[in-house]
Amino acid sequence: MSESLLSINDLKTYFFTAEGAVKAGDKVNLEINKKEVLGLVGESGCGKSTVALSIMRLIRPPGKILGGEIWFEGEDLLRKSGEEMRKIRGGKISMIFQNPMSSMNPVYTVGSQIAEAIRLHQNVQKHEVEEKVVEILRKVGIPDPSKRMKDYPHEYSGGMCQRAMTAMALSCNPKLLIADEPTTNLDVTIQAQILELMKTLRKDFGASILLIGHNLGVISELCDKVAVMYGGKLVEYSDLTTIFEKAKHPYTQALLESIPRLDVETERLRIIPGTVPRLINPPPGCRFYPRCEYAKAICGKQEPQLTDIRKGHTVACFLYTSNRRTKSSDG
Amino acid sequence: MDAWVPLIKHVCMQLVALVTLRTYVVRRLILLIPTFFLISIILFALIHLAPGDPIRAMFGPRQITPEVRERLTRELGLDQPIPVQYLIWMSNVLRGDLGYSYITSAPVFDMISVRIPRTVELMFLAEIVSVVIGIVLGVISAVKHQSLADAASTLWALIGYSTPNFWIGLMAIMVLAVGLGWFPVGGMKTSGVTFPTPFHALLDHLSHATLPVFILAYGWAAYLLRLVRSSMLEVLRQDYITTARAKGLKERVVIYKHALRNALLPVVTYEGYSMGFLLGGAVVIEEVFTWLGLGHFMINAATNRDYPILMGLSIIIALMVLIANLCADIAYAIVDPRITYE
Amino acid sequence: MGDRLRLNSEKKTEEVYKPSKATQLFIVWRKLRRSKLAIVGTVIVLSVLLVALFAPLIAPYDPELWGNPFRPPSLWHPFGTDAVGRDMLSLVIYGCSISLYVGIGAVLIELLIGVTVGAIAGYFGGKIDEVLMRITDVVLSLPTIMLLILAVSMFAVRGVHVIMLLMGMLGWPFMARMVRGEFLTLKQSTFVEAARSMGASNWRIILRHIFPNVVSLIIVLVTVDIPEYIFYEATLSFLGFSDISSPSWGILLQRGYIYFPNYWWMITFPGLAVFFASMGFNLFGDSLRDALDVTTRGR
Repeated sequence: MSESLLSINDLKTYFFTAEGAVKAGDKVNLEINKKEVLGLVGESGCGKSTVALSIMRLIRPPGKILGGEIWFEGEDLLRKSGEEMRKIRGGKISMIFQNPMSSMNPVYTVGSQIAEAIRLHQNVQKHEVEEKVVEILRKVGIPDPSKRMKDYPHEYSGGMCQRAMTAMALSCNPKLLIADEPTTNLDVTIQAQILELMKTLRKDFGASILLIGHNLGVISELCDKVAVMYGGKLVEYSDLTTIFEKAKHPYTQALLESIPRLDVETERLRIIPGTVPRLINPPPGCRFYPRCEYAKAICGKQEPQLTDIRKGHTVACFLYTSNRRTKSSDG
Repeated sequence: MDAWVPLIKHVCMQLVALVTLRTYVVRRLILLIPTFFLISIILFALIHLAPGDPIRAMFGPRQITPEVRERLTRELGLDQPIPVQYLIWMSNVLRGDLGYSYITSAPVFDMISVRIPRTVELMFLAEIVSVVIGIVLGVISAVKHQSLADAASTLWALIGYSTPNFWIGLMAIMVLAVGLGWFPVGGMKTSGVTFPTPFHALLDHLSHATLPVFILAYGWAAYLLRLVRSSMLEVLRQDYITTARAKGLKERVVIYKHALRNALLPVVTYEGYSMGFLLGGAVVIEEVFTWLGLGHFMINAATNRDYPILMGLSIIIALMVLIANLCADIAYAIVDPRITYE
Repeated sequence: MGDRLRLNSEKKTEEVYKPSKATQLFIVWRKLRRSKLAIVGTVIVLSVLLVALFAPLIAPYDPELWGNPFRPPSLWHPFGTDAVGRDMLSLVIYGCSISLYVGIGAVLIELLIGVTVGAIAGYFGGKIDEVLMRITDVVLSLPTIMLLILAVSMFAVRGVHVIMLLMGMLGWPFMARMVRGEFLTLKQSTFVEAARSMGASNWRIILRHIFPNVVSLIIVLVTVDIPEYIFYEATLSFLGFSDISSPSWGILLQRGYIYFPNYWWMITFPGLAVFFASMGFNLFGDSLRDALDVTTRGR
């Protein structure tokens, strides 16, 4: 039985705009265990990044975390003070982002930015800091680290930037690394390299990873478990094999079917008609209702709750639950 | 502060690099020369091609005898074709001879050099005041976006660049000097008084300088505030600011070390225009506060149509502005590591 | 069953996805309507324009009528009277027309020259661009007031139109620079490339593709330059360098300066008028700039 590292319960994060409240994250429940890689999948705008930023408590106005709990090492992160959260950020939980080239400050050297993180979270002597920077850069595969640490971010390529960002995130041995679409803006070949890197680092550092993305191919390379989000809500959660072979939620199935495959002959790629919903004042009922081919009448009126349909496999869909049974009543 | 040490080291390294890599500086210096000549031609043309008779202008409605007219025409070289006049004048200028006043016959160069420090003093102090106020208020407005402090600062800035500076100066004199008596009404020092120590004299001088400096600074501070505010807002939206926060840095460090450093880059280029702006402002401010500097001098000369003085003043001021622009370009290259000197 | 459901979902798709029919003008209008500052600015600009246009109808007295001199502000003369008893309020109202006339005139001159020069420099680039830019750089770096004073001192008589002409002549470099910059960026944009690849001629490209984008920039610049020119006119007149016959705000300021600070109302109110008008145009111009900014997406 793997131990739970991070447990998100009923997270509610809204963004308050002039038009109304954008319900970017509505009662999200997630669980990450120690030394596990969880993939968080969904289309753009479904709320994945919001979940990540909520964990780090980096939601800025007009966004606001309205409710829920995030349990980490026995404490609720949402109840911690700003000072305490700062100690955790970069230290116990760290994050890398989608645009590596713009995620580093262009006027400071790469080495100094990594050193900044190290000095902040570790009790190290001045001369040791530089050694540590060189060491971590070497671990992520930057060639000639002692020279390259003195370079500026614009002198790095996209892939190298992401490696350096990963170095910065891992420099203080975090327990959880959140990777928000780390390969989306990189070439396919570089993508593969970064994924290889993450696999190695996972072994070396023993950290859990929350990997956010919309590319199922990337997810399948690295993850143990997968959670699928749609319209700000979690719709399915299970381990990797189950998701890929026995996905139950219509959205997950559609996603899987839309991946082009070499081994199956298809004439046209499967598309999901329609577009992602606006999260301001969403209509009642399941968020996927307008695009779902199995939609029933009840789907447009009530929201399906997350239910266990098997051990370790939860789905939120009326195909599998009557509107009476809920996750909590199953025990 | 610890956060600025790497910046200072970087600046020193860049200065060293500049000295050894002289190409950039030399290239800009060389460019200075044709620009200077171009300006001088334009200024000369401006003055000499305009309609009107300079001799008539000098004398006003008074009688001009033909002998006087002929003598003056010869002396002032007005019978030569314009390009020749220009060459004569330019060669004199390059030798430091700026001619003589039509009215007083005093050497223009001397009259100007006496007054340069007075104007430079005003502008220098105003520069400092405006930079400090502009940056501090600009940062506050951006960080406390859409709060009361932001609204107040923005309103203050709006008033600053909407109102004629001389009018604000006069209102300030009316309220603060005449009304409340906190400051003297004008001039550069209290006349007819001997001061016990040079320190007292300095204090007296500063009390005379305060109002003109602040009024002069107000206009530029208003522009800077807007620029810093929008630059900071832009920078605070960037990805690397989120990264900095994700590292667990204190918000204060994020703002001053990461954000401000980037936000100030456009400010440095903009500062290059400050000399032109402040000089323009100084012209009127000196008049209103009876500060006997270059601006005041120019207004007198223009009213009296004393062309040699006007020419000399223009060329000196143009030179000052050109040099200031050059310094601004160099400063920008130092501060932004993305610019290469090649 | 599958077919029927698919039809169903298609209908639902349309319900969910509603393309907005807003044209660009509509978006701008909406953004303007939202901002409180924009409304304030627009109101001020409109009232200034109205006062300027209908001055004879609005002014309580004939501004040239002599009366009781040096009266402080009162019920009969809200802005007081000047050295020969003319009503300051009427003078300020009439001054609005003159100052605005000069300002708008100067802007039109600046517009004409600046846009032409900027468009040529920006579109054709190369040597022409370099030379033109050198000239504008030179003029831009020197203090405008200084150049104006120099220019004005050459003329024996400086009437309204001389002042207007000189200001426009000294102001166009800035407009040229801005327009040129816009042309440069637009010239390299992909949609221009696409047009050219379909065989569009130079003229057509300029008129149909580049110009609409430059227009919004020009509108903002024009709005913000009017107060600049009102200011320069005020400064020139204040310093005694203009001979505008009907008193503009600047002339009023000059007259008031002679009696400063004793008869403070003679200079305070004209100055307030300049401030008020400038602020209005600046607010309006800023809001216009924000509203026309394509990159900030407002709904």
